[in-house]
Amino acid sequence: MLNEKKIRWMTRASIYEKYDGREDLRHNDYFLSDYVRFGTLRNLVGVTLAYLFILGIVALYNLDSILTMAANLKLGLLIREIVLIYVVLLLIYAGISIIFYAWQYQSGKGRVRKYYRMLKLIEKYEQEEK
Amino acid sequence: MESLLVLREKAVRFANEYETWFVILGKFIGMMFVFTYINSGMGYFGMLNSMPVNVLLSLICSIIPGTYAVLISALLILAHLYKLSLLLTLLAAVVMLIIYFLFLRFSPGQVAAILAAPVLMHYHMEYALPIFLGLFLTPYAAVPAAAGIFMARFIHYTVDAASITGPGITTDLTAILAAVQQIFGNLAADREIWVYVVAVIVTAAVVFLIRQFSFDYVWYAAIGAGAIVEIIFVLISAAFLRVELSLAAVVISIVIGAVAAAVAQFFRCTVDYSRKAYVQFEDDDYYYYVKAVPKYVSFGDGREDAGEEAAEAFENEEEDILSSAFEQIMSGGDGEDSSEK
Repeated sequence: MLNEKKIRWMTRASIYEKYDGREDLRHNDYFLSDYVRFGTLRNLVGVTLAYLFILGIVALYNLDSILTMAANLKLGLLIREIVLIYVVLLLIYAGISIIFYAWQYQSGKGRVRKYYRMLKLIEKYEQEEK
Repeated sequence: MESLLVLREKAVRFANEYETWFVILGKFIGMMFVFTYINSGMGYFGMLNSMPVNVLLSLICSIIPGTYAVLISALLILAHLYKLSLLLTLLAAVVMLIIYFLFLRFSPGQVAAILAAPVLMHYHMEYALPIFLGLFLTPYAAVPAAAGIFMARFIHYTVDAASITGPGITTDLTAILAAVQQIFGNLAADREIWVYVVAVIVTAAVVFLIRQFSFDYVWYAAIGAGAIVEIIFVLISAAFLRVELSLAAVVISIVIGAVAAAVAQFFRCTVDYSRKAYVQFEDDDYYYYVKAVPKYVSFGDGREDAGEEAAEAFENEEEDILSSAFEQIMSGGDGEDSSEK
C-alpha cells in the first residue's frame, strides 16, 4: 500500500533538489568564509572591469576636457579622483558582496538542514514499511 | 464566490497536472514577445528578423534557464547592431557588461525582469510591473527592471546615432566622439528613466514590506498600497524632474497591473480568513504561536453542498495538519504545512 506521507516528503525533497537544492548543495561544499571570500573576490574583479569600461566611455565623452587638463598639467588631480572613486566603489561592493554571500550561504544552509531532515523522515518511513 | 472558487480549484488542478508544459508554454509566449519586440525595433539582420527564427529561438529559450534567455536576447540585439555599426555594437556590448557586473550579479532568478520591463514599455504598460515584482519576487528585482528600461533607451539612442559612425569600424575620431556624446547626452537628458527607477524601487519595496505582515487579506492590501504609492511617486518624481507624462496612461497601466496581480494572487493562493485559528504550544526550548489559515477548497463537481463538505473536510484536515506540524516541530522538522498567511 502507498504511504502518502512518505510520498509527500519524497516529492518535497525532489522539488528541492530540482530547484534551490542544486545551488544550495553546491554551496555546502564550502566553508562560510571561503564561500564569501570567493564570491566577493569574483564580484570585485567584475566591478574593476566595469569601472574600467565606464572610465573608457567617460573619457570618450569628455575627451576635450581631459586633453585640456593634460595640457594644463592637471592630470595628476584627475588620476587621484579616479583612484579615490575606485576605492570607494570597491568598498561599497565589498560590503554588499559580503552581506549578500553570507546571507545566501546561511539561508541555503537552513534549507539544506531541512532537506536532510526530510531524507531522515523518508528513511524512517522506509524502515517502518520493512 | 463559490462558483469562482470552484473554477479556481479546477484551473489550479489542471495547471498542476500539466505544470511542466504550462511553464514551457509561458516561457515560449514571453520570449516570442521579447524577440518580436527586438526585431520590430531593430530588425537590421535580415536572416534573424523572421518568424521561423523567432519561433526557434523562443522554443530554445523556453527549455533553458532564464539567464541564458537573457544572454540570447542580448546576442540578438548585438547581431542587429552589428549590421548597423560595428563600433556601436562594441559600445553596446560594453554597456551590457557594465550593467551585468554592477547590477545583475545579486539577482539570480530575477533576471526575467530585465526582459519584461522593455517589452511592457513597448505597450506603454511598464508601470504595471513593479507591483508584480514586490508581490512575487523581492525588492531587488526592481534593479533588473530599471536596467531593462535603461538598456531599451540606450539601444534606441544608439540606433539613432548609427548614421554618424556608419557601418564597420570607422577611424574618424570626430565621428566616434560625436556618436558617443549624442548617445550619452540623450540618455542623460532622458529623465523619464529616473521617474521609472524611483517608481519601481519604491513600489516593489512597499509591496514586499507589506506582504511580510500577517494581517488578513495582506496580499491584496499590499497590492492596493503599492498601486497608490506608485501613482504618488510617479506624480512627485515627474513634477520634480519636470517630465511630461500621460497621467491617464500611467494610472491605467498601474490599475491593470494591480488587477492582474490580484488575479494572479487569487490563483496562487486563496485562504479562508473566517476559519483562521491561533494555536499555542511549547517544547523544552521555545513557545510556538502559530496562526493557521486554511486554504479554500471546493470539490468542483457540481454538488450543491460542496462548501459544507469542503468545510467538513477542512476540519479533519486541519486537525491532521496541526498535529503533523506539531510532530514535525517537536522532532525538529519544518512543519510548513501548518502556517499560511
